[in-house]
Amino acid sequence: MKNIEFLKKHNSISRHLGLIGVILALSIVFTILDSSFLTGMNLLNIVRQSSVMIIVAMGVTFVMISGELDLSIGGVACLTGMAVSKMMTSGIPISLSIVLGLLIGVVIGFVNGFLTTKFKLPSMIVTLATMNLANGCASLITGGTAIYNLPEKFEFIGRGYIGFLPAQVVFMTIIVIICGIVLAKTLIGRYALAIGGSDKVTELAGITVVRYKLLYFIFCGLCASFAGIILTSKLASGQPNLASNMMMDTLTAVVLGGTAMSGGSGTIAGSVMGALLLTIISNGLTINGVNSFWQMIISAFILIVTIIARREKDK
Amino acid sequence: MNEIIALNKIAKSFGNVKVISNISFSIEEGKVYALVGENGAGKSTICNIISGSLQPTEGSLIYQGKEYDYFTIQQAKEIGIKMVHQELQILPLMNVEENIFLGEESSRHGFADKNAMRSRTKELLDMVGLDVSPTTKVKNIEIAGRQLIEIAKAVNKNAKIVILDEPTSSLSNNEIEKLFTIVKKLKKQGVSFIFISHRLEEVFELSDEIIVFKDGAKVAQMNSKDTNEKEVIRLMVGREYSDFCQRERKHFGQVYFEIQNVSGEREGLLNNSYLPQKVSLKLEEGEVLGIAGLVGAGRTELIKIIFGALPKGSGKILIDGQEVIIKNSRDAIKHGMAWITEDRKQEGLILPDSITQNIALPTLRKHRNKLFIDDKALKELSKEYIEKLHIKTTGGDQQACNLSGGNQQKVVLGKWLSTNPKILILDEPTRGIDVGAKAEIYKLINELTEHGMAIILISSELPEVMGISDRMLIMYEGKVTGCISREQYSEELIMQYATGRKVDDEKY
Repeated sequence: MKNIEFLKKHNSISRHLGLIGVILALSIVFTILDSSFLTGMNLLNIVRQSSVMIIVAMGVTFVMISGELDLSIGGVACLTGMAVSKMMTSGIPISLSIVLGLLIGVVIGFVNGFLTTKFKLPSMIVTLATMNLANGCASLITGGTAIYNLPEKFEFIGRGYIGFLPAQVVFMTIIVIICGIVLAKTLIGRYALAIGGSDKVTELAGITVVRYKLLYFIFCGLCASFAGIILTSKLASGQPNLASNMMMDTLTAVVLGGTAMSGGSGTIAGSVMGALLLTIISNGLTINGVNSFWQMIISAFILIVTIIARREKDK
Repeated sequence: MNEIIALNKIAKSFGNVKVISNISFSIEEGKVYALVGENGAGKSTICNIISGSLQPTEGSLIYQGKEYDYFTIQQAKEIGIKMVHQELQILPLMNVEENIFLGEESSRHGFADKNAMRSRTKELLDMVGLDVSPTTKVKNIEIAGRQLIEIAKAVNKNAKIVILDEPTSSLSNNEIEKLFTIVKKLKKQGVSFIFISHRLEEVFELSDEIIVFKDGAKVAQMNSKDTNEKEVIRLMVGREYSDFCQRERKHFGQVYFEIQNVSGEREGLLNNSYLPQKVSLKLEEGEVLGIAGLVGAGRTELIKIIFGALPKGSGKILIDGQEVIIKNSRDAIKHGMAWITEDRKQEGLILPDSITQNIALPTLRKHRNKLFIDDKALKELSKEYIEKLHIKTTGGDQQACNLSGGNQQKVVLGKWLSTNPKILILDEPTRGIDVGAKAEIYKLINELTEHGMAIILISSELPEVMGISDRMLIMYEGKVTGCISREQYSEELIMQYATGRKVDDEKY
């Protein structure tokens, strides 16, 4: 009984029981199949592999909670990666290149938000357009070839360590904590939930819905840009086809994490776990030597089961 | 008289909560049964059981001498039970004909029989008196018309029992008359009706039998001719009518709010409502100003302009003698205004959110410790209003969608009262809520004005505006046609202004 009381009080835990269950069950299965799954090294590896997805998922979570969609994230990441690479190889200092790169995400996020709110367009279509726009621009930078010979110091972001932790894990952790607090405890977060619940009601309550939606889109663009920078640093090269799976993977992670596609509900913890789950599936299957075609099929099944488990619980 | 179906000791629980218990009555051919009772008394539940969308937990249904534990939706359809829901279930992007025949398309040799459906649709539209083409998209038809289409759909094929759940709440008087004529005509052909309404006049005009529900039980079934409104209300709530709609102004203050020559962006109609033209009004502290008029006269549009939700073409708004500029609802709230909107489900509440979340929304930015939201303060806030307004709930965490209409309206009231408004605008504040909650809202209006609040009340129910306002402004096609004080109130005079038959030229 006490446990139930505890769970009731800690709503965020009980909400995600299904997801936690699936993650634990999968971990047990993978460990039984291959004991190297449950080693400190591999667990850290999983967290590192999921860092980029989690960072992007943070932006997507805010946008989706407020009732919108952002499909341009992959395009933004790709364009940022290419632009930053081009700038650095053209002699612009690393830090300035990074700032300008992040600005790309801010600008595209602003455009997404502006078109969506100002002209009352469906954000799915708007961001589909900006996705293509960003991908097109990314290829135009070099005419479709990769950029090599990036400065060595730049590799720190995607490959370096802070203490014993990979730098990207540290970045990710900081962003997640900030987002968690912002969503749960500040106006920006509460308004996102309210706007997703009903933007009409929220507007009438004296809240400038347009301004807040703009903010969520900009933040999402910023997250995508940062992800693009990390990926580029990790690869030590600017790739014109960077982050081609990012959009679908991230949206899947966020939805798995319990954020409603129609808006109004969702949590940071859920999105983080959604991303972890996706990574665990691919990591575990790889360790066990399952080929990538079977991986796709198996992960599809696991996803369907998880979604059904979620739905049952929500009833 | 032939019995069509009978209910035998029906009970229904949701979880541990028993919503109705021990309900028995039978439905005979060609009769109109009115179900009356407060919100949450179980009227809709019983209708859903009859129409097969809910299964009773106890009791049985009897049809042609056979006992059924429940009807499936299919069975109910075969028997001829048709339900017109309160929230219309009509597909806006399909046309009239497609909606009427949805799920029961006529066919010949496996192909849709367009000609048969077309001519039948025309016949039905003729019968309900709706002048549109069968191929008109429903989204281009106003709400009242959609209601008539739903009714046409219900009586299209093999209708024996038609359930009308609050069919008149979105209709004008004219359309209500039309609806009643249809009901009376079909009744002669042997169709029975179950009619739910909060408007007792209608109940008495239309029904043969009145069944009174209270707290999930049937407390009385009477022949309409043998009873009267007073008795029905007493049975429903245990109070007399005149007890709860009283007004005595106690606070007489200065003019606090004034608008001068306010017009909409242009002349003419906007979504079937006239935009206001050169409307002026004054409102004193402690006063209730009623705004009466037919549906579409531009009352709500006037409020929208005042509140910054529609653009203002010309004119001035003054608060406490100072001209103010209101561009959006944020400005309006800053100037001490609060607006209880007409449509509480779309514009008043975030239905899946909790009571606390809903109440706290407009004042969220005030309840902060520096950057962070003070959830404890929010909980206290919602507790305060739950107690003050007697919201019946399991607690502040309950979702708004699980509350009855009256309690939902109280949450909306709580939300706006928490902003400490000086001017409260009530747009149809008692639509679709029961007599008990109505009484509480009237009492609240009296209390609030006693402390100096100025209130604008819009209502389509004439007895309500007449009962609770001190002065009344009457609008017709976007213009103010008259303004009368309480001593002058008479239904006849108000209707003359409201229909444009009498127009005063003075400025108010």
